[in-house]
Amino acid sequence: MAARVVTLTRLEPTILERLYLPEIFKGLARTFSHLMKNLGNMKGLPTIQFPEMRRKYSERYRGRHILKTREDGSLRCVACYMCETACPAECIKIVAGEHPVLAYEKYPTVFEIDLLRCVMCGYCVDACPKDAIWMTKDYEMAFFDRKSAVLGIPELTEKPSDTDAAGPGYGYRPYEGESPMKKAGQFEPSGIPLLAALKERGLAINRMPPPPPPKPAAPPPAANAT
Amino acid sequence: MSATLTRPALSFGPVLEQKLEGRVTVEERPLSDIATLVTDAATLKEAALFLRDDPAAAFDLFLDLASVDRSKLPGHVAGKDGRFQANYILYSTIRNEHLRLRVNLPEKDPAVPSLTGVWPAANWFEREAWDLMGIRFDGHPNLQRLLTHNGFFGHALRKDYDKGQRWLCTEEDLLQTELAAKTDDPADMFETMTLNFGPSHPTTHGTLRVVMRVDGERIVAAESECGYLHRCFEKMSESHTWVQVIPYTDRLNYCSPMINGNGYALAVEKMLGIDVPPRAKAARTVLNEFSRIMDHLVCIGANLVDLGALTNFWYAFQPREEIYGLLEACCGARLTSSYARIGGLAKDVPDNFVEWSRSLLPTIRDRVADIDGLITKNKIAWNRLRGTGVVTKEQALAWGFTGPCLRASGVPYDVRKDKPYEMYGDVDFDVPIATDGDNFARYLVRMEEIRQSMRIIEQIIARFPKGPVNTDDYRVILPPKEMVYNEMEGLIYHFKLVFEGVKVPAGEIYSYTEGANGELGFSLVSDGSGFPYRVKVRPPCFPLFAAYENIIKGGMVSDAVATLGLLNVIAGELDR
Amino acid sequence: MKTPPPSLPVWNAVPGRIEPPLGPGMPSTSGADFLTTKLDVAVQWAQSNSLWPMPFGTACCAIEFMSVVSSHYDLARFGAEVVRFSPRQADLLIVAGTVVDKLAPVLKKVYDQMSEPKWVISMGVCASTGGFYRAYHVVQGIDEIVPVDVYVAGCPPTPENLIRGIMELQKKIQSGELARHRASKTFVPIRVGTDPDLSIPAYSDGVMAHVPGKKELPEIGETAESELGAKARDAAGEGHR
Repeated sequence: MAARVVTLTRLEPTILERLYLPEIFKGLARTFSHLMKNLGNMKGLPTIQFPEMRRKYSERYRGRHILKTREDGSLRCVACYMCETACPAECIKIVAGEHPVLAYEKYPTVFEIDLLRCVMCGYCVDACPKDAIWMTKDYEMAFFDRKSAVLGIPELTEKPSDTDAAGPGYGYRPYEGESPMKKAGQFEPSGIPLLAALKERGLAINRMPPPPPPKPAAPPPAANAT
Repeated sequence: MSATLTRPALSFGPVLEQKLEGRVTVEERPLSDIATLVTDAATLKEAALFLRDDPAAAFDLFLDLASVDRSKLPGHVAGKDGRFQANYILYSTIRNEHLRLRVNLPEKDPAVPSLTGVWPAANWFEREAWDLMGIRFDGHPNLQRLLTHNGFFGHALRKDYDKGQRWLCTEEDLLQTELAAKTDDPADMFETMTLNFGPSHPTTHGTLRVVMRVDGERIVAAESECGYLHRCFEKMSESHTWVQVIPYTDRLNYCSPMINGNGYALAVEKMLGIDVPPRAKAARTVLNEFSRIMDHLVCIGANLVDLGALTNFWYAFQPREEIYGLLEACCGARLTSSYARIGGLAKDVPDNFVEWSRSLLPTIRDRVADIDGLITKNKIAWNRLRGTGVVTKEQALAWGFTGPCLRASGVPYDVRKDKPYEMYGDVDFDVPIATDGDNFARYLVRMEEIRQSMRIIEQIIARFPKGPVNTDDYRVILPPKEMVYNEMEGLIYHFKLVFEGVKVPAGEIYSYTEGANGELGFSLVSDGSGFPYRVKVRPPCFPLFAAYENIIKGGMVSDAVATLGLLNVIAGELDR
Repeated sequence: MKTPPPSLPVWNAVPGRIEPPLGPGMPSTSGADFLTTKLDVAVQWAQSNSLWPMPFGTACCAIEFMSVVSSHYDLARFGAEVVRFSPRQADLLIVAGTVVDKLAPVLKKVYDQMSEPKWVISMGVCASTGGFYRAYHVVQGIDEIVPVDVYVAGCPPTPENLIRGIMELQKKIQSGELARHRASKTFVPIRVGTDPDLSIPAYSDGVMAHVPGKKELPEIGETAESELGAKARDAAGEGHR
């Protein structure tokens, strides 16, 4: 083992250092060399030109949440309240309902996350036993009022754009790589013929609230008014 | 999981028995905890003087005062046992030993004699215990509220206080005139004036406040004040499970969150009597050291901005951003990591962790060399930092300093070296100390510690262990997802852990790690349920800022700015 | 009964307040004026691209704010690099970090000291709602005290997220949507418990207590504000006409 304790000694300034100006020029040389280095290498600057360029975050990035869906489009969530319990910020609100598909048993009629309470700790993802909630790399969360920061099921449901190469991809998730969930296992009932039968009879298999009605088209330009 | 109880043999036992026979008892304790002496309020001062002065004991460093309200503990009988406890945590730098000195106090009018005369560091700790727990300290020079504001009613950490009960704070409650009056010197009213410094001031980081009496540029008296970021960490911990506390610990010292999470997880692991796999230990150590580098960089960089040297700030922040990349790849967030778990880590480190860590070191080295070249021989820096904010060795010990500030005053106490934890016992590094105790010494110590941290990182990543990162005890850590999704047993463990939390056996512990600013201690009390009964943090900054008003007295206002920056007071852990 | 125009926020309707002169972005009363509207556009463009932020940094978010102004993210690209620590010289207040009750009067004073036009960004969840500190000493959202224009979620928000918030604010300023003259709110009485006369029991139930499935959004700032406003109107002798 080397010396356990080193005592730092400070050097008394030499005459040259006490002259002030030589050291100032040394310092200027140091900053100037950085300037020249950067001028010669504009591509390698550390600055991230944000809206155009984006920092590449890892596959574990903890951003806005999404609710995963089954193959038939219904939410995987079974409203077991595990994420609500695990959340230290108490920002998740779930109301459970009975699902028309017998095998699914329960589903959330209300699933809200208050993003202005959420501290992005990822505990909800860790707590979920059904692989139903993930986080994304979507970090742009600016709101004009507190109400619009409460995301409901329509906003939280996984959308195809979440996985687009251009858009933000998946972030923090319970596992990496392939899902360890066994497809034929007792906990994953998707693919049973009951679903198709229900669909044929026109029964809703997913009681998710309907998407908000499309906004009315903009009024015609004022040229017509004259 | 239960630890055996022993009655420890104290090295100073015989002398103690002779001096204070019958009035002090040694308590049984688990092996992982520190030794405990129990006394009563009448003997406290005598015992404290003995512990400080007797060469066999020589407890020269007052670390913490952890108060406990025991009224909701199972087995507690109201009226029979004392409701309150005052636990003084002491340390002997000579003999490298911790000690807890305990006083049990009744429910009605709990009062003990103040120990400010024995250890000056006790001053603010006693004010805090009065503020939050309502224990009275007789003979205290200034027993006022410290963390909460003046319009506050009640004592927030008592078990019968509703955690959501807020009180209105008006501008009068900021005590402008009262604090100014304290610094008044009626004999010398000629040409002095009161200067309010903070809390909204760039060098006080928005949350610290000092009211000074200045004579021209010279400070003749000062009164510092904290609590502007009192976020009720300790009360919030009591209503969250043991695991849910980890995100709160991130926000204690937000310049180096990994260290706090590690310190807390280590404390709970000690209570549980479990050990984490070597890979988790190595990863924690590496990330701790990266966090320490980040903390020192932000301290030096931000302080140099306060002194007018803006360029260094950018040199300091560039490696910080690069380190953020690594931390984010491990845990998913840049700053608030929530990475440590009780019994391991949230996830294994990424595959390229070792190469990535290695690739960061040259950048850090270059930028540190830049700062070194600009500052260490700079005449302006010399004039601003040398000989200002001097703290002698005796003062540093009396005021309860730990960490870089204590080492800059010449005491080589470093928990990583003296009581190694995680992988620190297996690596070779030096503890840099300086003897001058001024701001420049603190700057030099921090710069050298950055280099030593890089040495530690290099050694560990050279032989980074393979294997799992989590223990396989699923009563402590969430089982892997394959088990949860596919097996009933895993699902049951998972449910129990999420809904009930980790069942930590009843007991208490004082566990300590080396934070970036000094000894970061966690005094935990468990009642056997899934929730902590009491969490008390020993924040390294607390004694530093408590001593600040004494350090700056007699100096210039501009030196006060330099001193505050290099003490590196982080409000998050100062006020909790 | 005269109702205020819907675009005006609630806090403008404080009795006894002299309505400020109309500025850019407010509806002109004297009919359309080509020159002044064009001037408005120019002024708004200039204002939005030269925000002078004052970081009211208290906690972790302040560290991320330092990242925003340092070389990797470089806020100067948005014309907002002139970080001023004096409220008198700034027009954008970035509240970064937890604001506790003890700091609330300070925040109010800092906001009042800023000169018009001024905007507020609440950075991070602690400033926006109190975050996961539902506790005895933490302000549950700075909109109890000052009007907030943009809330930025995240704990702490990434620098990109804050920049996005600033860009949204710039858009709003350019479109002239933001009302510009706003006083800080009257202090919300939150003294609850010992004296029922002084108290509005807003903080103990509902917001603080964890009742699964029964959580409501805390709207204390507004309700208490309106009650207080009614009381103040009564005191001023205006009554409810």
